[in-house]
Amino acid sequence: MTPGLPSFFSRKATVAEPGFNRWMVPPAAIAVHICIGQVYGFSVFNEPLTRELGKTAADWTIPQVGWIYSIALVMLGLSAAFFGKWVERSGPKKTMFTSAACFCGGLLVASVGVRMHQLWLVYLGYGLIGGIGLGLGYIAPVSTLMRWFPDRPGMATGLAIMGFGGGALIGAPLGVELMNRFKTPTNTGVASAFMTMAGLYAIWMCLGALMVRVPPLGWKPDGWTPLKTGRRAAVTHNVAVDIAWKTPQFWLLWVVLCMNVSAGIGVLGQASLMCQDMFGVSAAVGGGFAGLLSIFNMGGRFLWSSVSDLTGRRTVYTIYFLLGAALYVSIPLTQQLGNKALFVAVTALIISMYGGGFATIPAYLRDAFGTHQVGAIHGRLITAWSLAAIVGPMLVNYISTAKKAAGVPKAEAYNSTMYLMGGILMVGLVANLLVRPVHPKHHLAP
Amino acid sequence: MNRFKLLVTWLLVGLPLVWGVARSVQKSLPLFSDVAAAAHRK
Repeated sequence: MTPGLPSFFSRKATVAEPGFNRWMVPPAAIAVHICIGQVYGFSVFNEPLTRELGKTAADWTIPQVGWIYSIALVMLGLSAAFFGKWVERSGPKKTMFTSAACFCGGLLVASVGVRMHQLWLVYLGYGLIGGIGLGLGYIAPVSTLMRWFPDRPGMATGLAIMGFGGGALIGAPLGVELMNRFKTPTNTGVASAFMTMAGLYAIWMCLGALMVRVPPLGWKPDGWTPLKTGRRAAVTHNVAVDIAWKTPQFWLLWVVLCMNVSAGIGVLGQASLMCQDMFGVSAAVGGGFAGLLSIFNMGGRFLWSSVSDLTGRRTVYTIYFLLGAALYVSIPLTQQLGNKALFVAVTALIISMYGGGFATIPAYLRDAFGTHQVGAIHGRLITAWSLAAIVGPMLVNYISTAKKAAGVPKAEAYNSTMYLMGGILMVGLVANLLVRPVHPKHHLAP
Repeated sequence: MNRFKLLVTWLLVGLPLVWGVARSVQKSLPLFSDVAAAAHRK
């Protein structure tokens, strides 16, 4: 290691020079998030990975391949939780570079694993190493963005997290395009697609890391006067991550995120099949419905988190939970009426609030615990997402399958699940309404 | 120069996102034609 290298990556070297435009920071964060958001589109590789050897008995199965995505998501949660303090200490540039090295390095290892037909290498590469890159990249820009936008923290983090939602919209078609380009009669093209994606994503993520800057100490936007009271009052206190996660506020917000994600992710994962079963449409129309929901998932992240800057975080979550529950229980009605357009509108709104929940939580944490270690606190809260990612889809799959097996018509098999989702949102509502300011005894000395 | 840099930076992330959204809209077209046909039948 050369003596100059540490200073290039250090937080100090990332402090913005005078006259730096703060609007340069959101694209830096989005650049990283649209790359790591590729994980949401990983399913396009599942089927091709099961015929790498030409559909022989030695080929991998769908359940085996499914573990790649699951390991990556679990590692996302774990790395965000464990490395959060390191992320805060090291600053966004070093973290984004490390994230790029892990995520793109993981894709390369996975590519070698596919070429050698060694599944453990794919688990290690994309799942374990790549998953660490996901966690680091996800939380890397959060506290930096909130320091640059103390006047609009919800919008700022919403932009970055919108990038993660957009990552699936890019990653899935890009993966398909690349496989089509590289495939031959004896090769699915997955290994080459992984390698090319590693190169492309490395460029984007490194550009993001090079562009990111932290504000000088005490910086505030020109002409902005921090309000002392009210919903938009500036946050002046800070709580350390090791104290924060022992407070009831942290666990209430954990429940808030877990309930919001559990309800949304269950529907998102089953959207295509649900649409086909409930309205008898073709697989192509079902796929189109899933595609439309992805757009609302992305748009909701920016829109709702921006709204939270005006209404306050608690109000916007109350809207997610109350309106969300009402919409869930109305889904069976749209099926009874045979009104497909209404069904699409209702689910699109639900999914926009699901995305909004992800994007608003960092600002909610900042309101409660300050910006000092908000990235690390956010990292620990993400474990709620890991749990919800298992519970939500399991509930929808299990209940609808059991109903179908019990002879309930396909079109009505989802009714009880929708009522249950409404109930889950009510649990989230209670947790949200119980959130109170953190006791001053937990605040760090100024 | 600063404005140009800002524009290029936003294009760097905006263009891939627009491409992704366009592909998703394209994918969702069968849904719209199906909904429109259902409305027409009514």
